[in-house]
Amino acid sequence: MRDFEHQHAAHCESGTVAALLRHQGLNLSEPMVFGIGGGLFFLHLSFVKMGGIPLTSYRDAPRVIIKNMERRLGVRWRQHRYRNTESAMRSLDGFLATGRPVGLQTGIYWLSYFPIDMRFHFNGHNIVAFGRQGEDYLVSDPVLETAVTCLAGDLRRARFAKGPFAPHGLAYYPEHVPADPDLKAAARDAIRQTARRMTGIPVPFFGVRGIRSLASKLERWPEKLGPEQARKWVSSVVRMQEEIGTGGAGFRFMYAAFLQEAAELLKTPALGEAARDLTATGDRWRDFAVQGAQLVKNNRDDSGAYAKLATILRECADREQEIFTRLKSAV
Amino acid sequence: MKKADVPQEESMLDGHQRACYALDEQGRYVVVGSIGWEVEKVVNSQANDEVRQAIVTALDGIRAGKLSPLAYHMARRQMDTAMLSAYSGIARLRIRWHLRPGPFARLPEALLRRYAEALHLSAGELRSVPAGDVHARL
Repeated sequence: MRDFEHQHAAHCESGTVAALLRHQGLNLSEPMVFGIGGGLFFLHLSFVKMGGIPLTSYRDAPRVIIKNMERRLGVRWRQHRYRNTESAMRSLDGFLATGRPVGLQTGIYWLSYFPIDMRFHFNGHNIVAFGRQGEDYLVSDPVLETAVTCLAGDLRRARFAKGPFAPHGLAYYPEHVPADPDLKAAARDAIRQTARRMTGIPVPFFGVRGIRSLASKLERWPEKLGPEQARKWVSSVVRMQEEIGTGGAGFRFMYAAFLQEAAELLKTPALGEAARDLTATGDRWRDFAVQGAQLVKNNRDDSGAYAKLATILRECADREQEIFTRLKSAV
Repeated sequence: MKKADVPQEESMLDGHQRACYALDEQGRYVVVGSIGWEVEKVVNSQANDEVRQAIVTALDGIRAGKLSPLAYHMARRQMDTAMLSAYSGIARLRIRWHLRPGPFARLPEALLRRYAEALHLSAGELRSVPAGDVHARL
């Protein structure tokens, strides 16, 4: 078995999957994994609350990238969940002893190698364990620049974090990685599906409809919730877009990087144009984040600011609708 | 976003870098490390202030004799009764009862240990709260 090689990534799931596949000889960039994994999405569910705040997400459900590697590239995964910490850690030690790096789902709160101000209860964080160092573990956390040592106690608690998305010790690795998968077909299929999901789900929670519904809800937040709560909700949307490791602009830049690669792979210049337009849309999403943060920071009533934010959101929705409609016929 | 526009501002990343996707001079996407962005710092502080506020509220309640030390330790672990219930296996209603000083003081050792384990503390730590003002998050 060769040495595990750490690589800095923007997002935990695409970074972990790219690392595990690379270790098995399939060298794909993180954007390629994210794109073929169908990672990009948008949803705003005002009736699903986490900590009292409605759920907004710029990507699809956790683990969808892992599943799509199986469907589109023929990667066969082995996945293990465990009843208790002891068997989960024993099993992990067994994998590591045979030189096999494994992906682990963890709760970020318990991972003390993160700065304290970054640690919140989020249980969908993916990392790779690739070795031991005495009692502790060598971990490649894709969102960090280098590999780190993770205390055994931290890892035990993180693997059995409780609450929403509880990992139950989930450990996974590719059992079979095709040497030469049909990347072209995979990229085409993935782009089609993402385009359909962004534009074609006929309820106002998902894709561009979700962005528009967030716009009209957000406009009413100050009167509905009061200024303080409204600012808090805006802050949480911006956090989902920028703070949780998206590569910038809620994964839009990473997806544009994928489209750029796919344009060359499929020799389809239209994908390159879509990449350029999505980059420009990403820049508008960054404007949304900047103005949202200003609103949070200024700490005073400014209903005009909410209307401005909603206008940017609607503009992003229009642009993305146009881009993804075009993409459907481009592949 | 162009490479030169990737923010390099003071932040909560504490020396770490965040990977951003940005365009190089040839218009190709590359990964660029960012040491932080004011925007992230603002929204991250907002979330952390909330945690600190919950800690202060719990400490005030404890000093006023209305809450037990469990309230403080829950707040500093960013847990509500639902989450502590998931971690400890103790029903939410019982946890609410134990948030009162009297019932908490009478807790049997076994139950105290379950709380301590769920909150990753020793039983001794669980019984005590810090004396002065608390500014740190943990």
